[in-house]
Amino acid sequence: MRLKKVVALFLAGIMAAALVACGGGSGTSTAPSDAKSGEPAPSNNTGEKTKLVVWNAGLADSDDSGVYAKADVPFNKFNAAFEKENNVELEISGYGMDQMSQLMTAAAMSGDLPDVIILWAGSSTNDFSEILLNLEDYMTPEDIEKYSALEICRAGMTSEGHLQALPLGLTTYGAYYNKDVFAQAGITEMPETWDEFIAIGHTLKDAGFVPVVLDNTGYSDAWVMSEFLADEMGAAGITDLKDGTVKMADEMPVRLLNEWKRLHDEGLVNEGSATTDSVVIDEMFLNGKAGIRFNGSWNHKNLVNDMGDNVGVFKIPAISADAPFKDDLVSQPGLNATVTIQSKNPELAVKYIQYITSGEFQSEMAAMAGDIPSISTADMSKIDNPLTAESYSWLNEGGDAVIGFDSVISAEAATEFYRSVVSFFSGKMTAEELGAAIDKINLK
Amino acid sequence: MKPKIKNRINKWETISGWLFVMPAALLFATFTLYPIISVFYYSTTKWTGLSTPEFIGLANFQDILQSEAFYSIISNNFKFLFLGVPLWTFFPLIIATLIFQQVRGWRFFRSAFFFPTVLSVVVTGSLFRSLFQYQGVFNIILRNIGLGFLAKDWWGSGATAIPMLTVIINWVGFGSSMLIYLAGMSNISESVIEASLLDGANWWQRFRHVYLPELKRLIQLNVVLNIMYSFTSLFGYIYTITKGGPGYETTVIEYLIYLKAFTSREMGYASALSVLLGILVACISVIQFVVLRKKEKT
Repeated sequence: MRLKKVVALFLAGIMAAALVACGGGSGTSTAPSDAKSGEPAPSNNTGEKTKLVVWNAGLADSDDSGVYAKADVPFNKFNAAFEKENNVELEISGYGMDQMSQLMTAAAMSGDLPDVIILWAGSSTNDFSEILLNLEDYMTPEDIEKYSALEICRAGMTSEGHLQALPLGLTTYGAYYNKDVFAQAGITEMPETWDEFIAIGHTLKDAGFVPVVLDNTGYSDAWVMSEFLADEMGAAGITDLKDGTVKMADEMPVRLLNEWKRLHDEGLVNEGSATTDSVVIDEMFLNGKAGIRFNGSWNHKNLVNDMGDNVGVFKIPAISADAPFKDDLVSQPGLNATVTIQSKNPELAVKYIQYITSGEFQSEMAAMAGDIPSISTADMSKIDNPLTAESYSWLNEGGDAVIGFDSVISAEAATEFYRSVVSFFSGKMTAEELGAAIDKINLK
Repeated sequence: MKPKIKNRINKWETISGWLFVMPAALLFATFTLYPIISVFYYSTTKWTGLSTPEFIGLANFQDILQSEAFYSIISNNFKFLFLGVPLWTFFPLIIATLIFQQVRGWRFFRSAFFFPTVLSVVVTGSLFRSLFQYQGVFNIILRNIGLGFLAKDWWGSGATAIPMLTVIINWVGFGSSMLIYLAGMSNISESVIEASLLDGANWWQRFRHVYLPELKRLIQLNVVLNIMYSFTSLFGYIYTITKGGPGYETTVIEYLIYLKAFTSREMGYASALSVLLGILVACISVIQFVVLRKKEKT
């Protein structure tokens, strides 16, 4: 009997302790700090390292091509240097972007946000404005001025919004082509308009190749639609999509969607594209079964490593030769770094994101991956990738830089586009219905 | 024994009883009861998860019940129910009968059929996803053996994806149902089986008139579990294989709850969906219970 009571008390004690431990929270970032008020970070006089928790969705910490050793990958190298210089321990967790929204929501609810989050720029960041620190309270105007393409990093993605992120390079999208395939099909001139692109597609098809490869992600569709919308709306006009001044179900976007669908209607894309993974279409492109693959500048290094000088890139063609903004180009930070309002060490966290968005860091990242640096202190001479050099030249052709439409509309509406565009292509949905579905989510 | 001592013992037994129950009760209250009650509360609010919940009454339920998408998605659950429940219930029964009758290699098959049950959903989901892609191994084999006309984009439409998912779920899970049936069969009196053999009953007659009646309760249990499964346990497969697509053709209500909660950050709406799902499953369970009891009485 006595033993029974002792065991019962012991178990109850353990249970109570466990519940207290579950509810108590620990680590560096559980309690909201006074960061917004600009109060200094808690000092650490014990000699112990301060810990910063970093969630990373997108910044490469390894090199798929095997050229860089793990420690030499810029992100790892700069992290190690920052830890050493600042007596800091960085606790870095890598996540997929598709997980990040869920993680941020769950962490914000439980008060467990990390200090720093690196994630997609645009609405993916802006949707979380209320949990992101105003960086202007911690940075000098001179430091801020060094960065380009800051509008997308501001609250509401307008120049009036406060700065809530620092950009990590400029991404451009392009039509990447297999030079051997083009040579075999006798194509020497790159297309400048969508009609010319379609004509090239037919030439490739007649020569026995799959003209264009698309995967199931819906991203290629978004990149091309972004360029089409940029041609019609320009840099200033594209933001009209955000508040519904222009709706996706309006005549113009619907016309552009139907133009894009010509690829499918005229049999110019790989069969089963709606459910094909990117790794499969990469293989088709690399092995010379397909002529064109839409992609982005972050992948330049991989493309050159895999294909050498057999890969080329041209701008996604203008929707038509007389489009009002046909020279404008979609180029925006693909990734940005943010600090959350729950950071216990906001000054240190801001210092960290300045460190990993510095000119030196972005130059090295540009050399490793391919995005163009978005800070004036970057050393452009380090960029020797011919694809990046080509896309960099586009930026200097006089057209304005435009934010991709899927970064302008809400992240949820963009997800609806990625998801439903395959139903549109398979004829289960009209362009009007797709546009209306996106508008419904974007404007709610 | 004196009443005083007896009372003291009873009192201590009560206290120690409570102490023994307390750990489980606390866990249950903290991690099950409290969240369930919270879901009812949040279902009446507008809440992003970041903001303060704003009470909006039954507006979420009204939105859901007026939304066409909800009925289209719940119809996907019913497709899984009508396709899946017969397959998930009777396929393992047939296999269990064959193994119980010790067909050639039954020992191997008993282990082999159970093996997929121990694999994680993520592993099996990823495997089947790539296997049945348009450029996947299955279609390549079909093309190479001259059956290219049968090659399809299996995940490209709900009409093919839902039956495929049902078969995959069966492949993964029938091993455990088979074991349950085998356990039931081992309780059938040998004299009954021997009598049927002496009477000259063939395989089908034994299955129909001996095994089926003897396993009636287990079959009922499996039917109940499988019906619940088709409403509450498909998430892993949908997430890893189709992500609810193409479009929303394979989206089921659980997956919709996930999308609403963590993609749209409409926690209130997702909570209302959860409440409706709970009510739906409870209703189905009650109907089953009533029907089965009626049958037993007759």
